[in-house]
Order: sequence, then C-alpha cells, then structure tokens
Amino acid sequence: MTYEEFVNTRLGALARYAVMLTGDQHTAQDLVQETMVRVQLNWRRVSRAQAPERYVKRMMINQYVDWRRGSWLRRVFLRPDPDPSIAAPADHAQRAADRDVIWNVLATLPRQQRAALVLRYYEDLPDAEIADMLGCTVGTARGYISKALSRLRESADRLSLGGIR
Amino acid sequence: MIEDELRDAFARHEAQAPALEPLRRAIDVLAGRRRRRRAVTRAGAAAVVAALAVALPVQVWRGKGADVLVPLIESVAPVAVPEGPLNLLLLGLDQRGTLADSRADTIMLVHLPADGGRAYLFSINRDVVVDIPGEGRERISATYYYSGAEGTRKAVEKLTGLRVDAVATVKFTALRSVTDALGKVPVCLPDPVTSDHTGTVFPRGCRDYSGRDVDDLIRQRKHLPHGGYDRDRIGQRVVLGLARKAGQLDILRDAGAVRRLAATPGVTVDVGGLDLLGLALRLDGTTPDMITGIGQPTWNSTPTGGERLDPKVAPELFAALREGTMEAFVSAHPDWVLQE
Repeated sequence: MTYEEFVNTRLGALARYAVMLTGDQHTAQDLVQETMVRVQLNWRRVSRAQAPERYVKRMMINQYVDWRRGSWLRRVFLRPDPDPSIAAPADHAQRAADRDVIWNVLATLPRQQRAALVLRYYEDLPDAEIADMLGCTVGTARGYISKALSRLRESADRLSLGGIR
Repeated sequence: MIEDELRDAFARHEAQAPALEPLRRAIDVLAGRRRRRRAVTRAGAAAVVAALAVALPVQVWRGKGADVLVPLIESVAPVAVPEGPLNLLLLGLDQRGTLADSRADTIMLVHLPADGGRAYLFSINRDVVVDIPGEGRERISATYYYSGAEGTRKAVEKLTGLRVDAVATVKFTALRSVTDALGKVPVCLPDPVTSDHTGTVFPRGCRDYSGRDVDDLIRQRKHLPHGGYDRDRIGQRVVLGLARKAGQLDILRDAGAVRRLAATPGVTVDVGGLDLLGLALRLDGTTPDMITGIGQPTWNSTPTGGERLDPKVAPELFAALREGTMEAFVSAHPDWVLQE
C-alpha cells in the first residue's frame, strides 16, 4: 500500500478515532496531524507493519497518552489542556445536554482509561488486543475499563439527578 | 446500560471529526517542512562519514551498503551527486573546562578533485595570520571566535581562493566518542610522542588506539619538533586511521554502529546546497591509500608570533587545488606531503 492509498481510505476513520480519544475537534485535529506527519515521514516502516492501520492507531494512542507528560502537545502547540466543560458540542437543547453528560464525564477520566474505553466500545477490540495497543497486561487493561465504567456510572447518576432540571 | 450509552455517545460524536481535505493539506505542509529540517539534522550520520573520516568508506557502499544508509537519511528526494571539484572544511574545536568552544584548533580542508577517487587533506596551521574584517590582523583560529564556522569558512576561502562547499565542525570530545563507536582506531606515528597532559607514551609505529588515547594524542603540540605543524599531521594520521577502520568494519552495513555515530553529540555540518548522501557517494571509491595529507613542513613565523604560509609554495598549492593538478604538486614538494 502506498501512503496515498492509506490516506485516501483511512484518514476519515483515523479522524473519528481521534475525536473519541480527545473529546474535541481541535485537539483531535492536532493529534491526527501530528501522528500522520510521522506516518508520512516513516512510511517505509509503517507500511511494513502487519496491519498498518492498527500500527497508526497505536501510534495515536501513545501520542495521546504521552500528551500529559508534555511530550507533544505542549511542545508543538503550546495550547492549554482542553476545558472539559466545553468539550460538548454547542447544542443548547436540554435533551442533547442530558445525553452529553456521559461525554463530559469521559473528559474527566485518566487518559489510559479513556483510551481503553474507546478501544472496547468504539473499536470493539477484544481485551488482549486492547492490552497490546496500550502496551500493558490484559489484567491492567481490564482494570482500566472497570474503573472507568464505575466512575462513569457514579458521575452519570450524580449529574443527572442533581442536574439542571 | 452504561455500556450502551457509551456506544451511543461515541457514535453521536463521529460527526465532530475534523474536515478531511484541510487536514490532509496541513499534514502535507507540516511533513514537508519537517522533512527539510530533518534532512539537515539526520545528515549527521553521513556527515560523520564524509567529514570526519573523509571516507567512512563509502567503498562499502558498492552495491550493499546503500540500502542501509538510505532509510537512515529517510530522504525521498533523488540523490544528486555533486559534480566538479569539492572542498569540505573540517574544523576541530577544542572545548576544555568551562570555556565555550571559542577556537578552531584544527583546520583541515578536504579536497576532492573533479575526477578519480583521490582525496587531499590540507591542514592550515591555526596560528596563520589573516585579515578579519573589522578586527584587523588575527590568527585564523580566532575567526571562529568572532563569527563561528561561517567566519572561518570565509577566511579560508579568502586565504586559498577556493570555494568551500561544506563545513563540518567536530568537538574533540566527539572525536573520542566516534573512535569508541568504531572500536579502536589504527594510527601510525613516525616518531614516539609523550603526552604533556597524561604522560602517556605513544610509541613509533602503528597501534590501535582507544577514544581516550586519540583524544589525548591529538592535543599534543608543545614538545613536538614542529609544534602545531606536527600536531596537524597527527590529526591527518587520525583521519586516515578512522577511514581505514571504517573500511575494515564495513561500517555502513552495521546499522547499530551507524546509529551510534549518528547520535554523537558535538558534530555539526553545514552542507549548504549539497546533498550529503550524494556527497558521500562522491567519496565512493576513495580508499585510505588514495588520501594524501598536505601541510606546510614547519614554522614561518611573524615577529608577533603568528604564522605565515610559505610565500612561494602556498600559492602553488592553491593553484594546483584550483586547477586540479595536485599530482604534480605532490611530486614537486615531497616535504609538504604526509609520509606514511
């Protein structure tokens, strides 16, 4: 596969995946951009991987998780961390706000946990592959998911009960 | 169920994905910019090759090494092998203690004639007095202090009348790392040398020296019969040793060694418009025995303790370099030629 072919067929999916990881369009754009620049510069190596798309998604996860450590976002873009309260799309309808409770809570999770949720519930990967993508053991990956789910349950309950209504 | 809500939330937000066309353009622009920048920094590996050892011999490239080096440089541009004679300036910076590297202690011009695989190393004594614009008459080593590698390049161009195509600066400490990365390096000495700094005695004849020894050896000057002139000749012998060692190791086929060389801090290269890989390809076929060291035999001091180039022979040398008649110069002036 050439780089061109890869971009033609996979860029859309990668952009959506970046939104799931980062929670907002601008950060997603930065993440895809930074990852794809590296992909382009190292295409020879990327294309040699068994599954290039998965390899790239893994690069993206690494990049996203590293971002807290200040390795790429702060250096490249000097942008403050996104404010979770504006992570929701601009939709003032009350129903939409309710529905986005879960999206807002996602923004408060540690990055590995959010990444694990994306891999399981957006990418539908089995636990072993989630662990592989995150570079951790299966047990750790499951731990991320169960912690994240219980936090989501708690916060969602609390927010919708004590919500604006 | 929270899991279902989660799936819904992900699905709903797919619409937030950034627009693809602008994203794609941004990626291409950024990648292009970074590729250009990287072509300069990554070239460090080939630079060590081209500059330090003249020939981290590129003869190993014949057919086999190229695919190791090409991914290393990761340049997608076609390789332009520069034509015509080439002059590369190699500056050795002595940075000791806390002083910033303020002087170019070793100034070596690597000349590649337009045809054939020969190479000439011409050492310029660091005390040779030149005109520094705005500063008056100064030793050439001070040009680095006033205006960096570019200043020394200009001074060398003015002194020799030659165009300098590329400049490499190497800290002596980097020379040490490079030597260690290669393992030991064979250096042949016509007379024994005793270190003023460590007391180490380097015997006459050919020996394999470690990075620490080379670092020590290359600083020696005070007690050598011809001072700085002898030191420059030792520098040439070290470069020949590096070239020889690199040839033995088939260095470019050893990705690990190339990576260690590339990571050597303290080596910088300015190749101007030249393609470094092409430059290295030009060195293809240059074996250590085709490299000739040239230098003024001994002092020709000014009353103030500076040095002058021989008023009769130096112009002949520069003319020979310009006109591609170095073989005639070498046979006419054996005292200017490094004896192996």
